[in-house]
Order: sequence, then C-alpha cells, then structure tokens
Amino acid sequence: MHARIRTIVVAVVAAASAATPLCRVQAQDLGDRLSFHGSLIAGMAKSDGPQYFGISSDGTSAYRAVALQFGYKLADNDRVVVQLLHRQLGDSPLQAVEPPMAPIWAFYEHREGDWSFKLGRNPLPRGLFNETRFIGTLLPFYRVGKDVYGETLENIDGIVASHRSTVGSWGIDANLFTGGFDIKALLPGAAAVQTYKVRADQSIGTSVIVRTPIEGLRFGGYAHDYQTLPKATSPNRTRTYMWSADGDFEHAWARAEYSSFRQHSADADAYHGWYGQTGIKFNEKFQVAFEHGDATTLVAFPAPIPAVDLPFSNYNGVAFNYSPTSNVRYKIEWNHQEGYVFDVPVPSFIPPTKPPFVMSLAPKSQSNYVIASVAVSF
Amino acid sequence: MTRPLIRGALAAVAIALLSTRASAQEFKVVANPGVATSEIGAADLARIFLKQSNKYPDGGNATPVDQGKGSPARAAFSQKVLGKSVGAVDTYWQQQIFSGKDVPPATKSSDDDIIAFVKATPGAIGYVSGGAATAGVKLIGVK
Repeated sequence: MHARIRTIVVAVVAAASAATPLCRVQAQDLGDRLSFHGSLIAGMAKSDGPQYFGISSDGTSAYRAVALQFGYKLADNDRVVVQLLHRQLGDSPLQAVEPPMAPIWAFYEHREGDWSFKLGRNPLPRGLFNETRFIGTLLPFYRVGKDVYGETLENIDGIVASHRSTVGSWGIDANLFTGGFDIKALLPGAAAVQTYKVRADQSIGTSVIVRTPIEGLRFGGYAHDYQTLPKATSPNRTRTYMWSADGDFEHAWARAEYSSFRQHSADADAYHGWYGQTGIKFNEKFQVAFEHGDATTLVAFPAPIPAVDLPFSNYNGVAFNYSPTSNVRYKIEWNHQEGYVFDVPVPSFIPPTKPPFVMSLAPKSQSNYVIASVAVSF
Repeated sequence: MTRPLIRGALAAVAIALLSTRASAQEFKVVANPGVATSEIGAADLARIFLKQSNKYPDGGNATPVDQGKGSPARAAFSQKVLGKSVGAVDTYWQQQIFSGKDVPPATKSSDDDIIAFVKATPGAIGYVSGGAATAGVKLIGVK
C-alpha cells in the first residue's frame, strides 16, 4: 500500500516537474502574443465666459479621457486589436451622444511585406493626430487642433490598406480606405444648442504622409468622399480634404493643418478650418506650446437672403508641459475662444429688416478657459 | 614647460581610448545561430528595432527583442544605434501603439532572458551588456 502511494506521489511530482517548464513556456508565449496598453488624461477646467466644450464658469473636474487597448498576435503577420474609450467632457451637450465606454477600434490586421490590411472598426489615418487624438502624453494641449479634427471621422468601419515605402532617404506612408463612420457636432440655435449625430457611409478615401530626408519634417494629404445617411434627406455626397505640414525637431516644432468639407453640388466649402502650432522643448521634461486656430462655416438662409460665411471659431492657446518621464505629462493651458459656437446659445445673426436683405453678424462672443491636466500612458 | 603639456596630452589620449573601449563594451548584439548575417549596419539595425522593417538586409526574417527600460545596455543601444534617448524611443512607441500601427518588440528583463529568447527563436536579434556570456548565440558586428 505504502509502495503504491509512494509510486503515485513520485508520478505526480515527476508530472508536475515536467509540466512546470511547459507552463512557463506557454505563459511566456502568451505574454509575447498578448499586449495591453492604456492612456488616461484627467483634468480640471474653468472658463470666464459662455460654456465652451463642457467648461463652464462654475468650473468642472469631470474632464477626462481613458483609452484601453488589448492586442493579440494570432501569428507573425496577423493580430487582433480592440481599443475602448471613455470620455467625460464636463457639462458638454456632446455627452448626450457620447457612450460611457465604446470600442473605438476593433480590427483584425494582416500584414504582407510592406502592406497592412485592417478590417473592422479601424483607426482612420487622417492628418497627423487623428489616431492619437485622445492620448494626452502625445499632445501638448488637452485637445488636438479642434477646428480641423472636430468630433468626427474618429475611426472607420470597413477596410484600411496601408503601404510603407522608402525611396532613398524619403519615406512614404500611403493608405486607402473604404467604409462608414459617425459625424458628431453641435448645432447652435437661437434658443438652444443641439447635438447632432449622423452616420456617413459608402465612403472611399486616401491619405499619404511623406517623410523627407530632414528627420522630423513631413507633409501629408488626405481626401475622403462619403454619403451622409439617410440618403433621402441628404442626397448629395460630401468631399473632405486635409493638408498637413509638420516639423518636429530636437528643440522645437512647428506644424499646421487645414481641412475643408464641400458637398458635390455646392460651389463653395460648407466648412473650412485650420490651426497652426509651434513650441519650444527646453529639454526632455519641459516644453511650451502656442496654438492658433480658425474656422468658417457656410450658413444658408431662405431666399432671397444670401448665404453667409460665418467665422464661427477663432482661438489662441498657450500650454506649459512638464514630463517627468515619457509616460507622464502634466499640462496647464490657457485658451481664448471667440466666435458663434458655444455650448449655450450666443448671438450670431442680426436679421435684415429692409432691402437688400443681407444678414449681418452680431459681435463675437468670447470665453477664456484654463485646463490643468495630467496624462499617463503605458 | 612642454613636458607637463605632453604628459597632459598623453593622459587625455589614454582617457579617450579607455572611454572608447568602455563604450564599445556597453552592449553586444546577439542573434539566433540560424541568422545568416554576421555584420549589420546601424541604420538597418535601427529599422529592425523600430519595426520599420522585419527583415535582415539579406532577406531573412528578423524578430527583435529589447532589454527593460532601466537597463544600462538599453540606454547605450538606444543612443548609439537608434540615435534617441530611451524616453524618445518610448514616445515613438506610444505613437505607434496608439495609432494602431504596431507594438514594441518583446522585452526581457535580463541578459540571460535575452540570450534564452534569442537562442530559442528563429530570426531573433537582441543585445546584452558587454560582459554577458553569449554561449549558444551568434555575435553580430555593428557597422
């Protein structure tokens, strides 16, 4: 009996000893296949004028963005990535169309040489920062250039084909994409500001970033044609373009981006905006950034009143950043916003009372706001 | 008058030589014994470690493996081969990760783990500190 027990114990110990390295190898293999990354930016903000982007004169501490990314490598050239996003924008009306937590990406990627194919809900390669627009450790301000990026075209449900090539000391990152996406915006009105969320689909587009032989200097272009749904109420397709220039060097940077939207049938842009940003890196820890942005939208009126180009947003900002490590960034920023689109109704047009029936603009409303935030990523 | 000058100059040369020797010993690049390449350009090596290329110049598949962020070998490798500080490389990887492009190479916390990974993984390439034992892997010269 004792001998039998001893045999069983020896067998169990031997099996366990044999299995331990196997488990370790499997765990190590799993560790190499799985990836988990995250980013958080949390802040407090206060304004001195009409509420803007969730920031009221009462101030808010409910200001944050959290991104969690999970990846699994199925094989050397195949992987699956899911990124979840939670955003709180103080008291912004945009919260009405912002789910508490949403999968902003969920794609399968296959690589073939210098090509990559992504299927599912994909990051949309638009401009310099679209894919990283919520990652505070990569941005000098809380938000990415808002008059260009807005609250739309954050991702694309469909297919993105990307190709990376090098020609001498030049590099080209080219993308082709097709699919659908959400458009979110604030629609100002005389009595209330409404949130607007529609679906755009049947889209096709391309983007290219050219890396020059001067390290840090690159230029980009983006073109995208889409159909807003439902087609019955929006029969015309829309085309949007974006142009980018970026010089990011050891001690300073300067960049500018421009974006426009136009319906196929129209002879003028429905929207165009740009921002310019420059900054100084005193060292790896301290930097100061300056930004200016400007946007205009075309507002139509019933005949015979002609449409008006409304200079709806104009802003200046300055931000001080302190990064004790590359994973942590403290920011304090001041912004001056003026124009006609705030979270609350502000005066915009003064209706004509006599011929020639031309709308005139009310004086611009203004708001100064400050955001203090900390960004962390891993 | 001239003797102290000459002595000073000789001492400076000796220090320079010693520091060059010390920096040359800060890390050694190692690869799986099956890797055909025995010498690689720093620019090609940087492309592999930044995952801008997954191939050796001769066409073989390359699998890079990094040391942990606090490792002196990584600091030296980052500066000399990648041309950036560890922090700047980390920022580069944040951009790659959060734009959905790629994730950094696998990271191992010690020279022994790097050697074990490189030995066991076809096409693997890594680096270890200058004094590390490199039995069972191939030493790669960096041009």
